[in-house]
Amino acid sequence: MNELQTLRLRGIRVIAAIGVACALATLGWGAYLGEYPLAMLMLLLAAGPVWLAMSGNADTLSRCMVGATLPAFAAVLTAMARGSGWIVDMHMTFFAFLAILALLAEWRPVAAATIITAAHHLLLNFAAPLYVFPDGPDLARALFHAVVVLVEAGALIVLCTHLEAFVLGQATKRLKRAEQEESVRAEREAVTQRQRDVLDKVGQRLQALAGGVLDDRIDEPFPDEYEALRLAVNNTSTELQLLVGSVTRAVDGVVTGASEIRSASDDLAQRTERDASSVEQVARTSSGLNTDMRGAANLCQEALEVTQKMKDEVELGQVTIDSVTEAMTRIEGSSSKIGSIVEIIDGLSFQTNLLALNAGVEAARAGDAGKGFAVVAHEVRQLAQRSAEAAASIKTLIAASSDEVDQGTRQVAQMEQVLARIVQNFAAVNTRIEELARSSTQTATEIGGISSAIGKLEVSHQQNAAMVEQSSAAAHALTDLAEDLRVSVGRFGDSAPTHHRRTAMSRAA
Amino acid sequence: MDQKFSSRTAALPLLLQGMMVPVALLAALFYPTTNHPAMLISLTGQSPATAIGWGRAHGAALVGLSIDGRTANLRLSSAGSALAALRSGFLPLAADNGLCTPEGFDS
Repeated sequence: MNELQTLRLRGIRVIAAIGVACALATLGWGAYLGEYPLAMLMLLLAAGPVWLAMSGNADTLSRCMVGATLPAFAAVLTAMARGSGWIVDMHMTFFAFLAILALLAEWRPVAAATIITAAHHLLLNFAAPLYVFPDGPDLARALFHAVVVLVEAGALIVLCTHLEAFVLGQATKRLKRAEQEESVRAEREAVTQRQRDVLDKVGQRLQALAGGVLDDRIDEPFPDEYEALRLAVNNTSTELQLLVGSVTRAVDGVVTGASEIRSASDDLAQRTERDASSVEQVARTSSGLNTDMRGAANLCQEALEVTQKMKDEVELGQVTIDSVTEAMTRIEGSSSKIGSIVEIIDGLSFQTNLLALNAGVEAARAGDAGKGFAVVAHEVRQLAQRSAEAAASIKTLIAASSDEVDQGTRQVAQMEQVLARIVQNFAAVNTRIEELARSSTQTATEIGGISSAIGKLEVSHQQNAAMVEQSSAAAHALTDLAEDLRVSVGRFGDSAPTHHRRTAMSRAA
Repeated sequence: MDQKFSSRTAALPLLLQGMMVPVALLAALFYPTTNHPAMLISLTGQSPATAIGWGRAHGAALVGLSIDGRTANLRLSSAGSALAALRSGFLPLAADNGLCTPEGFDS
C-alpha cells in the first residue's frame, strides 16, 4: 500500500515538475508576446500540484484534482499558441498529459482528465471552432477527437488498473514476506534471547570461576539444546576445583620444599663461607708449612754440613786424642824415668844421711873442733832427710801421676772409643740428617703440591660459594614465587579441594 | 486525527484548484491575445462607438461589429491589451470564435 502511495506521490511530483516547466515556458512565451495573464494563469494552475507534491498529499481527491488540472495546462498552452500556427501541435499536449497520468496508477484521474478534455473540446467546438477547425464547427471531427481521447483513456485506465493491482499485489507479497521475515526475526530473537540467557548464566559462572568461586554450579536447567553446555560447564568447574585442589597441595609442597631448600641453601652458604675461610686458612697454613719445610730442609742441609764439620772435628779430635795417648805414654815413660831418678835421689839422700851421720860421729869424736863440722853434718843430714822426704813425696806424686796417667790413658782410650762411636754416630746422624733433608725437601715439594691443590680447592670453594649464593638467591626467588603462587591459588578461597568428585559430579548433573 | 486535519487543511487548496480549472478552460477559450480580434463588451453600458474610440486611442484597429451591432470587435495591440480594455470598463472576449461576422464590419 505504501509502495502505491509512494508511486502516486512520485507521479504527482513529476506532474508538478511538468507544471512548473509549463509555467516557466509560458512565462517566457508570454514575455515574448507581451502577454502575461495566461502565463500567470498557468502559474496558478501549477501551484496546486506543486503544493500537493511538497505537502506529500496524494489522496484520491488530490489525484483527481491533478488529473483535472493537466488538461487545463494543455488548454492554456493551446490558447498561448493561438494564431501562431502551433495550435494543432499544442493539441497534442492533451494526449501527452493524459498519458502522463498513468504515473498516478489510478483510473480516476484519467477519467477526470478525459472528462475535462472532452468538455474542453466540445466547448471549443461550439464556442471557438476556428481555433482548431478552420472550416468552422465540425461535430464529426470533434467526435473523432473524443473517440481518440476515449480510446487512449480506456487504454490508460486498463493500464492503471493493472498497474494498481500489480503494485498492490507486490505490496501484498512484500507484506507477507515482511510478515514472514518478522516471524523469522521474532523466532530468531527468541533464539537469541535464549542464547543470551544461556551466555549470561555461563558468563556469570565463568566470572565466578575467575573470581575464585569454584564450588558453585549452574543448577537451573538450560533449554534442551544448551543443556549439554550447562553440564559441560559444571563438569569443568568440578574438574577445575579438583585441579585447583591438587595445585594447592602441590603449591604447599613446593612452598615447603622451597623453604627447606632456602634454609639448606642458607646453611650451605654459611658452611661454604666457613669452609672457604678454613680452606683459606689451611692454604695460608700450608703455604707457611711449605716455607717452614723448605726452611727445615735448609736447616737439615746446614745441620748436615755442621755434623760433617763436627765429624771432621771429632775425627780431628780423635787424632788429637791419639796424640794425647802417645803423649800420655810418653808421660808415663817420663814418670818411670823420674821415678828412677827419684829413687836415685832417694838413694843419694840415704847415703848422704849416712855420711852426715858418720860426719856427726866423727865431729863428736873431734870434740870442739868438730863442733862446727857437727853442725854442718847435722844440716846436711837435715837436707838429706828433706831430700828423702821430697823424693818420697815426688815418688808418691809420680806414683799418683802415673796412676792418673794410667787413668787418663784409660780415659783417653775410652774417649777414643767414645769418639770412634761418636764418629760412627755422626755418620749415622749424617745419614739420618741427609734422609731428613731429602724427606724435608720431598715433604716441602709435597706440601707445595698440597698448597697448590688447596689453592685450587680454594678457587673451587669460591666458585662453589658463588654458586651457593646464586642457589640461595634462586631458592629465595623460588620461595617468593611459590608464596605468590600460593597466594594466587589461595584466591580460589575455600573452594573445597577436598570436595569429593562424586559429590561435585552429582551436583553438576 | 492527523488524517482528518490533513484532509481539512487540503480541502481549501483543492477547492481553489478545482475552481482554477474551469477558469483556466474559459480563459483559454475567451481570453483575447494581442494582435487578435477581441469583442469589447461594455461593463458600464458604454456604446460601441466609445469602444471604437478607445480602440483608436490605444492603437487597436476595428475589425467589425457584432451581429447585433451592439458590440465592437477590435484587433488588440500591445498598447491596447485586454487588460487595458478591462481597466477601461470593457470585457474583452476573443472573437475568433465566430461571434462576429465580416458582414457586420463597419469601416
